[in-house]
Amino acid sequence: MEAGELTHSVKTWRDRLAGRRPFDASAAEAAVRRAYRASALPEPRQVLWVKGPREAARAIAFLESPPRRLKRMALAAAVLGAVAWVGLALAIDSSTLTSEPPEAAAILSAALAGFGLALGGWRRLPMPPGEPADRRDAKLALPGAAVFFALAGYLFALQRLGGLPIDPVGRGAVLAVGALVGTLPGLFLRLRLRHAYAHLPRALLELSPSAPIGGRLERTREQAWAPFRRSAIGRRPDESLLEAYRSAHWEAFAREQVRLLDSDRLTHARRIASWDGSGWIAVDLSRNRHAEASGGVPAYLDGIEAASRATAASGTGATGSAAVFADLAFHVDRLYPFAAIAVAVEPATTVALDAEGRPHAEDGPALAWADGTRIFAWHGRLVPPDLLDRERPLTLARINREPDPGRRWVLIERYGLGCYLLEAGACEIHRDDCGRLYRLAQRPDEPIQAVRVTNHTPEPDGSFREFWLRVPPAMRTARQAVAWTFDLPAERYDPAAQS
Amino acid sequence: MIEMKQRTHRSYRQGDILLVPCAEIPASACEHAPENGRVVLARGEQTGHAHTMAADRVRYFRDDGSGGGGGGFIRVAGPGPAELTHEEHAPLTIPPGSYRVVQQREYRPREAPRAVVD
Repeated sequence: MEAGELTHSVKTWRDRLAGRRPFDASAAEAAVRRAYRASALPEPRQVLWVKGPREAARAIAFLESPPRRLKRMALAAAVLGAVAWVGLALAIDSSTLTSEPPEAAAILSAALAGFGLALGGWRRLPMPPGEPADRRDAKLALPGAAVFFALAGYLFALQRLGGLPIDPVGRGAVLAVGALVGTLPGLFLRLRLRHAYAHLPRALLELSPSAPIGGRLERTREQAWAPFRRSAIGRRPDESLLEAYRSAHWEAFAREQVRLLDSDRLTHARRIASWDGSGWIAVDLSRNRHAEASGGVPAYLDGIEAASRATAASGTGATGSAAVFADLAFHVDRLYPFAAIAVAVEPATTVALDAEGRPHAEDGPALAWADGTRIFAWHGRLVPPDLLDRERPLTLARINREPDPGRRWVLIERYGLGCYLLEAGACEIHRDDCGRLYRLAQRPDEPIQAVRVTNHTPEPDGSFREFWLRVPPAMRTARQAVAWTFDLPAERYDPAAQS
Repeated sequence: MIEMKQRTHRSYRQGDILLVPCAEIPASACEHAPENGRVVLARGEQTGHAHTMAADRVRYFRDDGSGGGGGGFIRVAGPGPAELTHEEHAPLTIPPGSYRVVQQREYRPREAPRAVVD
C-alpha cells in the first residue's frame, strides 16, 4: 500500500493552504485514482484538469451534453422533422386547412418553422475548458433564415395549391420533398456540431455522460475518517477561507446556469457531487436552487496528520483510506467525479492570507485561479473589488457615506481604526494602567468602542507599539475592555507577568 | 520589559495570549504532539511567529469544546519554571502547574469575536 508515502505534516498543510506549495500534476492525478480505488471503483479513463472554478463549470456543462449526445439529438430531430412535415402535408391534403384564410396558414407555417429554427439554431453549444467559446451565432443567421423559409414555404405553398397532386408519382415526389425539408433543422444542428467540435480530441468526442459517483466516494471517506473526527477539530482552516473557495465555485456555476444542491439531496438523481476537502457540493441540473453543502468533516491539519501517521503506523485498510482522501484534499482543490472521467480543479495561483489564515489582500484578489476566477476579501470578509480600489481616495467622508456597516468597517480598517477614531472625534471615556478606552457614536449602527493599549516589549528603536482593539460597546473601563479581549471578567484580569 | 507581580491568580500574558491557571485539564482534551521539540501554543499563519515552550517538561492539550471548556491547555511539570518564548516578545518564565491558553480576541458586530494574532 502506498499510503505510507502520503503523510503530510501540519507545516506542509499550512503551506498548501497558503498557496506556498507548487502544483504537482502527477501526484494529484495519482491521488484521484487512488481515491477511486479506495472506494472499490474502477479508475476513471481520464482525469480532466481544469484551471479554476469557471473552467470547472464549463467542463460540467459540457459533460452533461457531450457531442455524442448532441449528435444523437440532431439525428432524432432530423427523423422527427421528416415525419412531422410529411404528416403535415397529408393533413393539409385531407383536412380543412386549405379552406382557412391565408393569414392563418401563414401563422401556422411560421410557428412550425420557428420551432424548427429554434432547434437548429441552438444558441450556445457547451464547450470543454481550453477550447474557445462557440461564437458562430452571427454566421448562423443566413442558413437559419434559409431553413425557416424552406419549412414555412413548403407548408404555405402546399396549402395555397390546395393539397398534394392527384397522380401518385407527383404525390410521392411532393411528400419526399416534405420529408427532406423536415430534416433540415436536424441537419442544420448536425452541421453546426461538426464545425463546433471539429478540433476536439477523440476522447472528448466519444464521451458519454455517465453516472456521477460522488456519493460513493463520500461514504468511503466518511467511514475512513470517522476515527479521526475529533482530532480534526483542533486546527482547521479558518471558515472564511473555506467560504471564499465555496463562493468562487458558486459564482462560476451560477454563470453557467448550473444549480447547486445541499448535501441532504445527494441521494437524488440528476446531480453531480464534488468534494472541496471539507464538504460536498452537489450540482443539480433539474432544480433551481443554490445552497451550500453541509456535514463535511473539517478536513485539514491535525486530523489529517493524525490520519496519515496512523496509516503509516498500522497500514490497515481503514486508515489507509483515510490517508488516501487526505492526499486527495492536499492535491486537488475540488473534484467532480464521474465513472468514466474525473474533473479535477487545479489549486489557486494566488492565495493571500492574513496572520490568522483568513483570505485577505489589500490591493488585489485574495484568491485567484488561472482561468480568471477572482475573489476579493478583507480579513475573511468577502467584498466587491471596488471597496479595495487604491485609485479611489479613502476619506472620512467616504467612510461616513458608506451605508453598509460591514463595508464601512472594512473602510475604517483600511483607514486605520486609531486614525479614524481620533479624526472622527471619538471621546476617551476611561483610562487606567491597562490602556485607554474610546467611544464614537455611529448612527444608526452601534457605537464603536475601542481600547488603546501599548505593547510591553520595546521595539528595536526603543519605542513601544500601540494597538487599538475594538471591544463591545457595554465596556465601561479600560481594564474591563482588555479583560474582555481575553474572555475574562475585569476582576480576574491581573497578570503576574507580561511581555 | 517584563513586569512581575505577586498575585493569588498568577496569570501570565505574552502579547496576544494569556495563560490562566486552572485546577485541572478537561479529560476530553487531546494531547498534541510537539514540533521539533517545541510545544506550539499559538502561531501566526503567515508570519510563522509562534508562542512556544520546550517540550521536555511541557505538554499541550486541545479540547473540542463539547464539555464547555474548549481551547488549549498546557501542563508544566516541575521542579522549576519553563520558558515561554516568541519572536517579538521578551521570554516569560512559567511556574509548574496547569494553565488554560487564552487567545486574545477582538469584537465584531453581528459576528463571532475575531482572534488577534501577533
